[in-house]
Amino acid sequence: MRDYLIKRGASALITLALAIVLNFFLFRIMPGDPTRTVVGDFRVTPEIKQALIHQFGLDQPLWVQFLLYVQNLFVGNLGVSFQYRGTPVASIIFGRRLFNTFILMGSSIGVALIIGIIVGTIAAWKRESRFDIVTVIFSLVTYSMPVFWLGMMIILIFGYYLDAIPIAGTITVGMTYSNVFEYAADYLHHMTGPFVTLTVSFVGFYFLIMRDSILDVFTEDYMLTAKAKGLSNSKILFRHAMRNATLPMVSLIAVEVTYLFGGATMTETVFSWYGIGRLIYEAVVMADYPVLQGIFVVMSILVISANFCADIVYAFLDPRIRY
Amino acid sequence: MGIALFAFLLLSALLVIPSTRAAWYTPPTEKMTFPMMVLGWDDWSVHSGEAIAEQLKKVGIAIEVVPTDDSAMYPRLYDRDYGIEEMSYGYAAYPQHMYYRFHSSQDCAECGQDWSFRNATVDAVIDEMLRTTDKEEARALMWKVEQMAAENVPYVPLFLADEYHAFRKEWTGYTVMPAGPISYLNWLTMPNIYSTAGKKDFVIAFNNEPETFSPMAAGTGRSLFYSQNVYDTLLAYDDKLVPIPWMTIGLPEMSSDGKTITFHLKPGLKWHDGQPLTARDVIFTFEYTVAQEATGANAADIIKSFDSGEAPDDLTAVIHLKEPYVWADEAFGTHYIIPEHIWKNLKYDWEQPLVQTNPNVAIGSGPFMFSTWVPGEYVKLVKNPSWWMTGHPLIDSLIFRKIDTESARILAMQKGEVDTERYSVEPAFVEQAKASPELTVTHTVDQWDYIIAFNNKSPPFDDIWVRRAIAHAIDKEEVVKRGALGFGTVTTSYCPEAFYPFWHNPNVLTYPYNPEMANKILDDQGYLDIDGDGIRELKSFVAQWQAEQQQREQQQQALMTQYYAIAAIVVIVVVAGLYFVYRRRKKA
Repeated sequence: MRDYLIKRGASALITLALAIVLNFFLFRIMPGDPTRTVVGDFRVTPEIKQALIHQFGLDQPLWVQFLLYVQNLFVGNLGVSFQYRGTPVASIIFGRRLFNTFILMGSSIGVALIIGIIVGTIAAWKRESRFDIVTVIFSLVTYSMPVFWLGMMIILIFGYYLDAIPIAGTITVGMTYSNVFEYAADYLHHMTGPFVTLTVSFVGFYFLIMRDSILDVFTEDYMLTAKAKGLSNSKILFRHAMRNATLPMVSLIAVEVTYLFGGATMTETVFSWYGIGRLIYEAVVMADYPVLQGIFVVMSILVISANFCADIVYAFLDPRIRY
Repeated sequence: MGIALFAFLLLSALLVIPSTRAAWYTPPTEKMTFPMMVLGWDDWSVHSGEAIAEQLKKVGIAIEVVPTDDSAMYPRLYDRDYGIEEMSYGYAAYPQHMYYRFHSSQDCAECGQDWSFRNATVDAVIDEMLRTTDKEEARALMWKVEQMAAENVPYVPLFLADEYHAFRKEWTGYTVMPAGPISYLNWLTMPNIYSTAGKKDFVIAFNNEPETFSPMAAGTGRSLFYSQNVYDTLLAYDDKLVPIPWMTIGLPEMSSDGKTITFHLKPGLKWHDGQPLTARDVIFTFEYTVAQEATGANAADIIKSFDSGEAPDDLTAVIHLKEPYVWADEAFGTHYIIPEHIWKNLKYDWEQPLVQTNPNVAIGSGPFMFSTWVPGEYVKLVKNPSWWMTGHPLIDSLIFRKIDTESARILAMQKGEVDTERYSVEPAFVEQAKASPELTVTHTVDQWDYIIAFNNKSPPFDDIWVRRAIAHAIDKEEVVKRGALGFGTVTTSYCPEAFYPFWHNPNVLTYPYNPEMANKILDDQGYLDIDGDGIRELKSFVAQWQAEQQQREQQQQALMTQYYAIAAIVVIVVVAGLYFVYRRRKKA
């Protein structure tokens, strides 16, 4: 077990180092001229432009920029944003945006996972029944539906015509709150639209994976054994089939952790939800390298550690995995 | 081990990424066939380019429209690595673009002009105009510049984007002027707008929040608009973009040598924290702008021309310039004034930005005071009750709300969650907004001017006649109709009346749509279609071809002469032979 941990840990660290290196260069290979973002106004004189470019270190050779980047990363300095005129990247990422994205993504992924797993199991059990067919068609439709279109429809119908949900934002403009519950209620009211949109768009995928994985498990020998032992249907389904079928879901969840942090650009844009996904989009458009780098470093760390955890959980869950 | 080796190789491979760019454009050598760069994300630029390509085809010029991302477009423009391009540029409150776009000193990378236009005579007139502080005299010179530019056509102006602004029906009192009723060039709307339904909060939807709250760093329309409402200026503009007194009594006085401007402040001006605003604050603002190399509002012009300033008393601000500058009064007059007692210890530093959202720091003297900012949601400003324009503003609070998409902004306006939006209604939504019973839509020109520009150094665009012929060959009405769905105003000059009514030269040379004229010019200048495929050949190629043709004809003629001579000899010999034969026969 110790060897396994060390081996996994070492490979995680190497992957992280690679990700950090790639992270720096990827955005510089990307076509784009960050000096334009820094300078912005076309009326700025060449002298001022030069001063700005110097202040942001964009006149340094690439390898010097790289060394500075690594050095700063070790002390937790993610640099300053170009588009937000020198605001530290850390304060842009770790603030309201991250909070909003975490809450929205966490709740919608969580709910979608639970629904997906349960409904997927039942559908697999009742394979080719009316329930199975209806749920499969529903999942395929929602899974292939453009999420921004769904969001816009929800805004139009529930936001405009029915006036049941707000059109944009996370809180009511100019409202003052007497306690935290009022704030939470207002916040959740605003979250309804994006939450429903995302849950609907996620659930199909989880459902299909879970259903497939259960159907796979059904062909295993131990299922036959369980049946032969005369176990009840629900015991076979939930004790034996579902538990074994959740294994692929564990690795899936490890990947989905990125979304928790990366957000959903489309949905955030449609609902003007102030989150990380929208930030990534803006940073790409504005060639704001420090922000992009910051987001992707944090994301890499998250994914790599989530996978590391998944490896360990796997080892516990599945005795077939050798250390 | 394998991974480490891979990482090492990858890293070394990445370090040798070439930092130079391969040339994109090769000037044609035979036919008048050119790739034309248009801005890929801007539909108007792309579709206008397509309309122009069809029009130029009729005069024998083949254009291939190449939608280009700005990350590729600007480097190519700066390197002059192109032949012809079409997109929008922008106008400021005063027509400084006449300097940036036509003066030789601006023929450099990332400067005002991307077309390498150099003309010493034009430079001399521009320089003289920039030094002339009397606006009427300066205008006379501006007319000359406009005329000379038109004669040389370094680029062809196409149209100005239209500005459609939607308001909730109950709002009135706004001023519609170039760049729109809600813009940082419009000082008149916000103090005077009011609701006939008695609403006191005015909500403007923004597509993004201001990137900075510092008037010294503001660089986009939205941050400038924020600063304009919180920080006051010495002068403002009327609806024709003519300067008017604002914090001052009357317009500033200009010394006879044009190097000293004196502003007289209104008495009793106050900062939002109650401290008196004096001429010392005014001088401090300009000193600060220069010393800290700020980038906001008119910083570039101020840094270029400010020499020193003095405040002989609390109400008189005297500014000495390095040299006279025609728009000095407007540049200094519309720069946001900051309080010395707060800013004297603040350093304008990119590593430590002035986050102007601390209520103790966000102190201005404008019509509105900073109140709250919820990142990503809204910025709330409240009425400044002791503003100098007594009784104004008429609303109690001004809210900038962030809504990311145009469809949501329109719905929010129709529903009444917001009252207007910061930018022009997007073209696809204009009809919907006009048809909506809850909304009023205003119409004027925006500051984005679409042009088709030539690399004036690259043949054949170095030939003034080619540029003139193209100017004649473009049907701008049609370009607006197809390129901008009709949401544009045709421009025929470099300082168009629609935007600069004061500066525009009414008698300037124009190039009316006239394809016959264009064809005639190109024919006369020797750009002929010699192979009959509908595309003209380049002048040099035609000349070469003609020279070869002539040579061939001469050779042929020489050959013909030889043939005739040989034929003649043959005839003579034959005739002589026949004669001899005849004589022999006769004898025999």
